[in-house]
Amino acid sequence: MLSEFYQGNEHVEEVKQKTLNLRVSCTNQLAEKLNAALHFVIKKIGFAPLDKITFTNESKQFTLFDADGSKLSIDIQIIGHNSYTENIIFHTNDCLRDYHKYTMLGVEFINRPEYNTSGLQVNFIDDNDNCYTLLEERFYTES
Amino acid sequence: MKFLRVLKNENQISSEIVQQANYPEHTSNFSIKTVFSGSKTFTIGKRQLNLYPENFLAIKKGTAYSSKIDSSVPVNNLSISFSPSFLSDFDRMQKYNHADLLDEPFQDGDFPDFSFMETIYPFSGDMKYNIMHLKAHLEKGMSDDLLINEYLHHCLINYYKVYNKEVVDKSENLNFLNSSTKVEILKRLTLAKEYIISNSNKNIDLEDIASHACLSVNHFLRTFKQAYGQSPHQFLIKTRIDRSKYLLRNTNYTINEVVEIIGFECPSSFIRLFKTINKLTPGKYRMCS
Repeated sequence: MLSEFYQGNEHVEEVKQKTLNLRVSCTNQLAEKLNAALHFVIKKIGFAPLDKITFTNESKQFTLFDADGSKLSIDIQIIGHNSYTENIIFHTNDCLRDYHKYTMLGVEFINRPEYNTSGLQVNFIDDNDNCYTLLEERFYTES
Repeated sequence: MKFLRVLKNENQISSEIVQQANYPEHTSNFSIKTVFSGSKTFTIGKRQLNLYPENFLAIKKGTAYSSKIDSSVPVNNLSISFSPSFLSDFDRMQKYNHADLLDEPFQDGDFPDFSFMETIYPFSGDMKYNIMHLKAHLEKGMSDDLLINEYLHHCLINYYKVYNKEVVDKSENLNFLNSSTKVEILKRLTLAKEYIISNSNKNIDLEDIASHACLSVNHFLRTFKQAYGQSPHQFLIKTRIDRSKYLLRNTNYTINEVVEIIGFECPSSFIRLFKTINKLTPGKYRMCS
């Protein structure tokens, strides 16, 4: 998860020593835009851009290493349908923390974190105004 | 783990884990109190409230209260105190649009009177998620005021949501034309509700609860059902079952011990009721948690 990127790390320099996880999901229609999305986020968190990847399977996992040996695991899921957003989704387990950290890294958010039936989410854009969603899924059934 | 964080804007968050403690009477800013294990007793005037992990307590600015922990298990408790200026900013952000805030960026010094109802509320959903995140960060020593304030801002958003659900919506359910009558009845019903929650492990009867709410038994029964859509007895059972679910998830107490702690008289009736409500037995519920 994107969130692990930040756990216990207050500075980007320290993050370099960590194993990072990134979970991304999108619908079939958006699969062709995944390269641009990953390129943007991966660069922001300090890794070298990816080569172009063809997304043909329903899910795909791969790992990147940067020059310092830091590891980034990426888990991509192509889903049939999703009801709460039409964007590519970057999953997190703490939306406010990642919203704050991404803001510090210069990512432009187009709204403030808001609640919906899935949890807490906020939308951000890349340099070409493509819109993505940062989503913390929450489960409300437990008392 | 014990910490006290005082932010530049005078918001404060404190937490500690203790088994015995006495906090003498004092006043504070508007604050939210939670416990994550065990229980803590608050005395506000003549009211005595027991706070358990399924609930949080909201206390108004300026209210005098004392609290006490006397527990066989360590009680992990957390308190968040909001500065009046932070509350005022929050209120302005909810009321005005961006253009208005740009035209008039600074408040005039008149802080609005927050008409929070001072009582116990359910600690679940987004409120719980946000406070758990905040607590985890503070325990790791996070020192970023901006981020802490973001969590506190969302605590208020969630508090308002809970307040609207538990107070505003419930008062709408009451069949009284006069709004001041509705408010007065709801205040008394709230006293009854917190009495049930605080004493759910005891053998309380309807007369006790109605008398605590300063209502006749018939009036109390009728208005409680109107407001909350359930009888006081159903509410008591739900409170006990919720307590049992917490204990099953978070402790190693046997089923018999849980039954005793929550105030049920008979394990078999507890198991039957638990299964009816949750569609699985307490034992299976614990295994699935």
